[in-house]
Amino acid sequence: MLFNSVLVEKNITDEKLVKDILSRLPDSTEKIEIDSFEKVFGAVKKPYLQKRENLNLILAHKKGKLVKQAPDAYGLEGSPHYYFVHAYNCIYECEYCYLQGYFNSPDIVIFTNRDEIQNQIIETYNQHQNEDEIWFHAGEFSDSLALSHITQECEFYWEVFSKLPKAKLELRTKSANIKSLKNLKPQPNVIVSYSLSPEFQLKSYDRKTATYKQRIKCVKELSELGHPVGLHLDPIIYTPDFKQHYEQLFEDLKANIDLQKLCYISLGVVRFSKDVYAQLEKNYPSSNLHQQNFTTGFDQKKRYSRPLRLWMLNQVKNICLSYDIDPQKVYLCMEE
Amino acid sequence: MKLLSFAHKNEASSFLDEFDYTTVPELKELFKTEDHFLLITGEGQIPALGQINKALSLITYKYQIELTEHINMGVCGGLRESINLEQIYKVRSIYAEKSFNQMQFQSYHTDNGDIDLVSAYDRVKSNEHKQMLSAFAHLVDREAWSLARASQEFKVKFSCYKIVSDFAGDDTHCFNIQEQAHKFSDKLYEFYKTLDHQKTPIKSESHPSESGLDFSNFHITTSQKNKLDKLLQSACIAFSKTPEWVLSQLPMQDIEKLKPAKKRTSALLFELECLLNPVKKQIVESMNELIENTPKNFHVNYDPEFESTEINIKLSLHSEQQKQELANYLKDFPLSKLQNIINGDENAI
Repeated sequence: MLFNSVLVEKNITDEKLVKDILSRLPDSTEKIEIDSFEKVFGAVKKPYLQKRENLNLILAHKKGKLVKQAPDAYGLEGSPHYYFVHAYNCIYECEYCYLQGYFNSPDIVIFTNRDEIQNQIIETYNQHQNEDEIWFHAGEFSDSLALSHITQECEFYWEVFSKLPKAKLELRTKSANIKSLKNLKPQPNVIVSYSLSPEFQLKSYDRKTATYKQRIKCVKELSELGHPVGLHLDPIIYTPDFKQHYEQLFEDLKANIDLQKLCYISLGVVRFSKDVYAQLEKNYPSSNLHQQNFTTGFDQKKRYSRPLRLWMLNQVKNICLSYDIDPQKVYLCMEE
Repeated sequence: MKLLSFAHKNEASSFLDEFDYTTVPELKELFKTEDHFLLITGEGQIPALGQINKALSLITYKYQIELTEHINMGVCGGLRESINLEQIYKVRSIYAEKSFNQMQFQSYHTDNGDIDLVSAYDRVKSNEHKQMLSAFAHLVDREAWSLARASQEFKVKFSCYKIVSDFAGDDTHCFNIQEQAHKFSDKLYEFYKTLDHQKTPIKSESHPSESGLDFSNFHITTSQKNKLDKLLQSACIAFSKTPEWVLSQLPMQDIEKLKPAKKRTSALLFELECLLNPVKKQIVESMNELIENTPKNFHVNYDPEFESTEINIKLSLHSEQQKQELANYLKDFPLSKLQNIINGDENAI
């Protein structure tokens, strides 16, 4: 069973969306009413790895800002980037995931006040009338597709973005849960972006996610259906032979898709905030990840030294270019 | 030596009947037998915290007995329908209610549990209270959180096993277990006998640098020792080898020739870093190659972590000749090449 219990805010139990979501969960899922999610989620320190055997789903309304400006170097240069908060946490378990040090609970929260999220997206869109395009990212705090069969979010946001031609929606994912996307008519401004790493790395660090082959298959299927697709080659992790692994990755991609059709490829090296690194050490004491030779930067983030990470990014970028990918489509994520 | 704890004496009645306890004069609720202590903590977070602290201090400091485990047992209430009455549960995470509708952020965790418990601030006699707590856990008691907290402070492994007497809320029996106390205590005692009572090894923090390797030739500061431990441990994990193997991969003979001892330590740490990350060595060598012809008295420095592209040149001028030397040196100074290395330029490294 995916969720042991579902916690629902008292005042939203009659909402149609809430009822729909509940109807898609197994009958055996315990249902508990709560006053508000803030009084439960993060009110106590719940160990991250309890997500393996005891994961709760919380259905709630999020108050306040639902659309937020993305950090610098978050997406393709030259356009404003925003992310919207539609969920917290992820059902997958990746060793490098920053969520392990971000919230104090691994429980999944789905915000059902979608109309308010929609209103804030439109409001933000209207503030950027003079821009050629404006980006909205889903999946900053969750996987965009992993629970889409339960939430039916894709259908909702498809509708929203069909009316916002200058807006781009990015759905970031590591999921093979593309059933709902297959039933939706491709829209040029809705991009599904897959996080992808070499196969051995993905096997080592990504748990419960779609496998390497499944992700490439999804990219292929979506691409063939006409859905715009992007790739995040992030996190790139150093091994003496990492370059060969990325060459293999591109060979595998080339064998399945027309690489020129990719909307963009973002590149990022593994990095950790102080809190996330502390969690990594606690949760995965034998992980090769924290055996990497990181330095601590001025911002207390752990990452490779500047020459190494820029060298690694250049190596992978050069591989991209060697496959005739437009340099304009390749960008470095979270780098100066 | 273990410590068993119960909130009430009647929950412990079967244990008190079965084992040959003697009382501990300094604390009348603490009993001692050949291989364990038994403590009656009293009900509630605060009384339990007081009792456990007294008991742990007494055992640890006065009797100087090392406790391997603290096992808390007793009755609890159910918060969710899926809970079975009279079943014994192994508790996993323990939360606490600070005051009504307000939780303690800190939580404690056992190694072997499979269900969560919350220690309530007060007896849970209303469905509203039960509903609130059920968002956090399946079970409710009044003491476990305090006991787990004290155990953590005393670095004693904590386990918790609870038998469900009734459901909390409007229909609770107020944890009034008088009538059934012996039955529950019997069940807990039978369960206790099934636990693995092999001696738990006392955890000791081992450092690779203390694992028989000889670093007597090195002058190692505390921070360098921490770094050495971390690097050795990292290398052992990365290569799945022993610290001895890791050191055998380093140019130890060359390192040991260096003087003074401080320099040997720096070189050892550097070589270990390079073993984990060979590109670092390439970077440093490329940088040093570019500045190797620097005249004496000129000192070229760069950020050892390479986060800044700034290059510092330090010198003292004493003569016109030196000024001329500086001008010539700066004219051909490979600033761009050095910065290209720092910026990860493949051709520069």
